[in-house]
Amino acid sequence: MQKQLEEILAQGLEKVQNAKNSEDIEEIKLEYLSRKSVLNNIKKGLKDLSLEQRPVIGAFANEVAQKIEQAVVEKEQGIYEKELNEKLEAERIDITLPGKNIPMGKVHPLTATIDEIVSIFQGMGFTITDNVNSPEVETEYYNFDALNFPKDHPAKDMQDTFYTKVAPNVILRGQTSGAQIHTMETKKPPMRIISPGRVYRCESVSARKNNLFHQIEGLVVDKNITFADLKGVLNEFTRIYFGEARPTRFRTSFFPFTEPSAEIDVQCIMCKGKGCRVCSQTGWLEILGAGMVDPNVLRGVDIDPDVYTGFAFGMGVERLAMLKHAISDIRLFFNNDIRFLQQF
Amino acid sequence: MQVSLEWLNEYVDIKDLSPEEIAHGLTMSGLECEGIDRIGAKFTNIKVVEIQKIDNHPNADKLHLVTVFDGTSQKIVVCGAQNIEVGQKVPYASVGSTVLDRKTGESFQLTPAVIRGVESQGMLCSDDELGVADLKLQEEDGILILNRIFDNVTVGADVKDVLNLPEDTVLHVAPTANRGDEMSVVGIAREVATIFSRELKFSPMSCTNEIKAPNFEVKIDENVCKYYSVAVLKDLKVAPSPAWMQRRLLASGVRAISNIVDVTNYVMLEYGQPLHSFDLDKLNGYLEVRTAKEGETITTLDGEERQLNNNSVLIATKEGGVALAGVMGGENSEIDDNTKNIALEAAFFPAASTRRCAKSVGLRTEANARFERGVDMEMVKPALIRAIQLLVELCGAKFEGIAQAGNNALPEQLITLRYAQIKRYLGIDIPEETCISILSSLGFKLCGKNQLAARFSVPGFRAVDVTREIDLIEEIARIHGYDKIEPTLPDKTVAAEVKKEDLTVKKLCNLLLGKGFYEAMTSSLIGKPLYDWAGIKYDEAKNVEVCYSQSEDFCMLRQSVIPSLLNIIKYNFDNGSKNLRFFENAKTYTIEEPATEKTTGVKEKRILCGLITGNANTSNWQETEDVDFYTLKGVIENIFEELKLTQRVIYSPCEDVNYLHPKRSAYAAVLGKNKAPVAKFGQLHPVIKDRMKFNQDVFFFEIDLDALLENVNYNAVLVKELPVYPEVTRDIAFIVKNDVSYQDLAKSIKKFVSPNLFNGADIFDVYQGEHVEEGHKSVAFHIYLQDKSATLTDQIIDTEINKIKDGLKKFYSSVTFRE
Repeated sequence: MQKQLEEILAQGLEKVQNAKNSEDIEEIKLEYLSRKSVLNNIKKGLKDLSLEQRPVIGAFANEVAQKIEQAVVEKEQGIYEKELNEKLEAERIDITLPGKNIPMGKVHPLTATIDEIVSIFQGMGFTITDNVNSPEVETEYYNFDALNFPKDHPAKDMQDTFYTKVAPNVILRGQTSGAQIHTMETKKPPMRIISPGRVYRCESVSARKNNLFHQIEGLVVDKNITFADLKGVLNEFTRIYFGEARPTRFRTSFFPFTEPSAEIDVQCIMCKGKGCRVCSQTGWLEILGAGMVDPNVLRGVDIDPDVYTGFAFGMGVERLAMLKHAISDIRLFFNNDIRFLQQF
Repeated sequence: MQVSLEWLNEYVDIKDLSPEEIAHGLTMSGLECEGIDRIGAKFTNIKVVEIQKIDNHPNADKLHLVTVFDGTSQKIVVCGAQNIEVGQKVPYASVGSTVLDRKTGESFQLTPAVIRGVESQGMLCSDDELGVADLKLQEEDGILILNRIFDNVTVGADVKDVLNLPEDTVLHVAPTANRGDEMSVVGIAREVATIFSRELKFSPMSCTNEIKAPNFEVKIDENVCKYYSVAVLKDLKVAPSPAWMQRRLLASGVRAISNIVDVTNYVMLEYGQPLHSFDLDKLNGYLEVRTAKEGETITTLDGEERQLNNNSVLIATKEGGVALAGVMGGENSEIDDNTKNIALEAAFFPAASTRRCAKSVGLRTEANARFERGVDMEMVKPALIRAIQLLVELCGAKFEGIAQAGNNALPEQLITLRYAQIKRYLGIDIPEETCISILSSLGFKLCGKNQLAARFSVPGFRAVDVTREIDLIEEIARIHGYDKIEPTLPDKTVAAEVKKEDLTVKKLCNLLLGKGFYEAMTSSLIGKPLYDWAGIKYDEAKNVEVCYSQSEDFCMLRQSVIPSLLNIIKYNFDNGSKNLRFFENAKTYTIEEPATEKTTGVKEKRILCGLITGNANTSNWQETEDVDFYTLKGVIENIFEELKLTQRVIYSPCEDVNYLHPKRSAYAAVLGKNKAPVAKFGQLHPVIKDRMKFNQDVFFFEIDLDALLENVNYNAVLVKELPVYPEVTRDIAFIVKNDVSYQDLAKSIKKFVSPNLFNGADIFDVYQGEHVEEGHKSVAFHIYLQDKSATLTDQIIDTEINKIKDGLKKFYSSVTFRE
């Protein structure tokens, strides 16, 4: 019986050795390790052996079973891995083929520019004006008179402003500054508003000029608002929008509705201040107009300039977007050429 | 305006300052300097050589080989000029010299050149290659023959020394609209003196014993002229003005003409006061300033006959106009070579009337640019005297006297500056002495002061733009320097309000972006040609039309977004893009009410609109299908779902919108207060499609954003508990007449089931064709049932399904069920 077991062991191990796949393994398991296996049959015959032999053979039978099982387990692991690898290999695809097209739109670069700028000011507590306070069709009152434009200011020329046949005083606004007046008429200070919108100028359309474009207007009115605050807020804006390292400068300018007035330049993005065609060799790019709200403007909306002060600023969206994205023709924004929009 | 630093230096010492420093100082304090030009020799290393020999070029008829001697060695250059002769002394540029390009005027460094097979050792130069053509040194074209123009020209000398070109630098400055005073050399000198803390070396000329002009009378209309004066000068000799004056004029961008004209221009540039000289003998001893009569004409100096109206202001004799006041002189009184006697005008024309006058004839001149910004009333007389002095000196004029009308005295204007206001506006303290010294340097006279305030008198040249305390504060701020104001932030923290409505609009835009729509921006300013092309009508009575536009393509604000959308398609189709999805957050504009002083009566309606056409997906290696009505409807449904309005939306056929296919388009309305549709969408009408020659179908949508947003409930969503018991699905299929809509069937099904068990119904099949009677369709629905408190039994399920079947049978006469 001992000999028989030794033969079983040798045979079993050999079969394990020769097993090719999981089916062979299953067969071996059935033959040697199941209830109906040859080993089990031997174990069933133990009762026929002498009392001395019974434990010896029994132990040996268990040992044989264990050895075969161990061999099976080792073999099985290898076969499993091999077969899994074969299966995975068979499922290989070309992952460099393009993905299934899930259509994807892109936001217009002007909207993206407006959103970025507005969000910087929102972070400083500026609220976007109501639509009704920023109409594109305006009266001369909001576009000029309330903004302290003298009665015969050159900007009122037909060559610059679109007058309409609606009424002699109804125009297409040439600037978003009217939103300042609308807001101050409907709200009492303190206020911090930001107002993006479309404006119109009576001009021949060219690569550099369009007869409509976008501006962003800002206004702060409160007690103790100073020119230093204006500088602080706009410095924060340029720091975030253009980056920490880009120098800016405030220089004196003139607008009818602010006094003192300033224009803010950033160092030319193209030449980094050395002077190039984009900055007309000055090294600087003008990006913002600003100033302290003129006392006449405050008085006109019943805000006492002896109690309140304020500042206002405005910037052209197309100009900023053109600088940022190296766009040389303003008309690209309004042609809606998919080949242009896809680039963003 | 161009200003010569050489000239400026006469009034303020600037020799130690670089042009860049001056430009920067002016720019920062409000006179923007747009460019710096260096005048003088633009060439370098050009020597005088003598022509020793001229041979023909072996390979070219028109070229010569010229042997020249530069004092040390001989050179051979190729030259095409025809005016050269042996013995002439001419400018010679060797390789490495800087000369100017004849065509572009740009300077460049000379490089070695082989011309028609012969090497040229440099070149001989013409006047334009040296940048001195303006000096008109010689009449003929070709090489500049130096020995003909100058005596004692030495071979080997630097041509720069021979030509004795004045060195100067010109600043191009752009005075702001409020600063007439900066349109003069003296005014700019005053700014420079103040910015760099220097002395202004200027005192206006005055005349102690004024002589009244004999036999000359002037008259004014005070509405269009405050003060008018004419100096009578006789026996002038017309000649070119001296070189120094010509140089300064040229540097200022003004062409030299003759001594008389040059003097008027010179004084205008220097003092900022425009002057005009008439030929005295063409005036008959009388001038008046008056408004032109409608239909009157005048031929101005530029030879144009101008039609005048009652905005035009004339200087006139008794016979008629001889000049447009403050704008341009008339041809009939012009100075010519025969002029001996002149009447020299110096006047104060108010800004507004000059502007209207210039506008009435569409002219802009140096003179009216100054009057419009405002000239200095107190400088009219000194400028006249300065010009008289120059004319006497340069033209040998005999001064006869002055005729004048009106008042040239300016009422004193006093402004009090409270020191505390400086800090209040600027946020920094500036010492009193600094403030006073800045203002004094700018010409404001200190008239008194105490601990809290100082009082200043405003000089005539700032009477227009400085009228209030805040204007003085600006003067102090800009000279003290904006860069010295330390930035601060407003001392209160406030949160920005973000409107729910704005967020919602943004959400819808983001949703469309996620559905593959590109955001478009189209022009809201359109024209009749675009409407006509699109075949879209607009309401004339409500149309916002502009009075004047450069182009008929931009003369009205749109009432419809459809022409713009069609334009997008056309543009992209023409460029080969066929798969398009666009949306725009647009506006339309209509007149709804009459305008008042402060209201326009124009309604600006927000329209969320867009289009879709082409393949649903554009991968080339996978199957694609074209978008259709239902692709678009899916997007529309998403929009309503985003706003939680799905349950309240009703779709109805849209047969009355002329650009949409009447059988493949729909209105969507939201059940609520207002039943009017909030959206319309569908396929482009085939007639328009054919006219546009589109090869594929296009689908449009227009959503009235304001109307849509009115229906949105901004309350937070309250979540329902998730069901514990399973949902069951039963399918029913039946045949109904073709004209029964899905919407009605779905509504009916819902009506027949017990509401507490009904969990929705989905259509999953619509079939027409074989086995279905003509005029009918087979439809199949999944019916979802669920009980919140128990598992449904078959019995209950069957009862519910039967209720639906019975109901449908009763409701639709021809319904038959398919198992």
